[in-house]
Amino acid sequence: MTHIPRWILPAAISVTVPLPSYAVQYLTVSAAQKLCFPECDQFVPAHVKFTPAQIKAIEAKSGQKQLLRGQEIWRAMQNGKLHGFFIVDYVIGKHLVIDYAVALSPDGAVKQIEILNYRESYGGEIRNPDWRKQFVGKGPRSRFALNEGINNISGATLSCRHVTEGVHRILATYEVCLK
Amino acid sequence: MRSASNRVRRARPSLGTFVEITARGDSDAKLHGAIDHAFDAIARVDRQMSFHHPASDISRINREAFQRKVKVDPWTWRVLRAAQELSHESDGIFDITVARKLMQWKYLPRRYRNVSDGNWRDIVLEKIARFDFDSA
Repeated sequence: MTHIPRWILPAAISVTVPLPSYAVQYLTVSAAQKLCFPECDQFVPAHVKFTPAQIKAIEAKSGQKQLLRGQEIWRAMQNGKLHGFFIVDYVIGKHLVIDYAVALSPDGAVKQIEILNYRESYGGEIRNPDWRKQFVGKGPRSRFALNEGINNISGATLSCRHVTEGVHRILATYEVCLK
Repeated sequence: MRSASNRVRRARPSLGTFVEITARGDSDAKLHGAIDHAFDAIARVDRQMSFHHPASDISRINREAFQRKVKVDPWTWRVLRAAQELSHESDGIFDITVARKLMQWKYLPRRYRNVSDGNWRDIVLEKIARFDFDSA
């Protein structure tokens, strides 16, 4: 299980909510690095701690809120030649944090995305009385529509959307900090 | 620590959700190679058959096929043909032209306006005759 470095965490998030949850570790950081850049022999840390100006620029370029205070970045090298960037990022899935990695080519094109750690409050909706309440009074002739009658979006759909937004933020981070 | 049969499990965002693939075998390197190939196949399905990607076969069909023939990836072709068979067998209970309703019900974003009535019976699948020399 990887731990999110303290210097990266937003100041606001300090408490973890003990939801019934499950977690899957798919890949460690070093295993994902080797998969994304099999030809590379060296991954040189080039972590960034954002300045306020950089945060503003990333938010303006990506249209996403930058909650992290920094980014873990490695330069993927083969015989001293830069082959790309390996970046670890964090997004909130439906309730919990998902760690994933983005591999970028030297000119900032997305090469690969791998999920590192997936955590979700499994079946959290069904246990939540407010969520169940939306079905009360719905009969066979009621309209069941997404965002209308029933909030039926699954955790995975929402989490996937958040990863997509995260990748846009990473591309803006590349423009601001790595280009 | 490693047993004779290893298990490798990976996940990527695709098809509008997370796709998880597990492979079992002896060599981790082979398993990762196999998973890479499997993700490539998933990516091809996503690229050609997504309602959301403007360049997919499905989007081209939705935009253009009422006016002119649209050439599609062989995989899309197989899915369309299977859908026709299923519609036929189920007498239209299964209908691949359901997107109009899904847009009305807001299960899909409203990408198209003024969509006319129609159903699976209006789909015409035409196979192009191909003539290939075997390259020996």
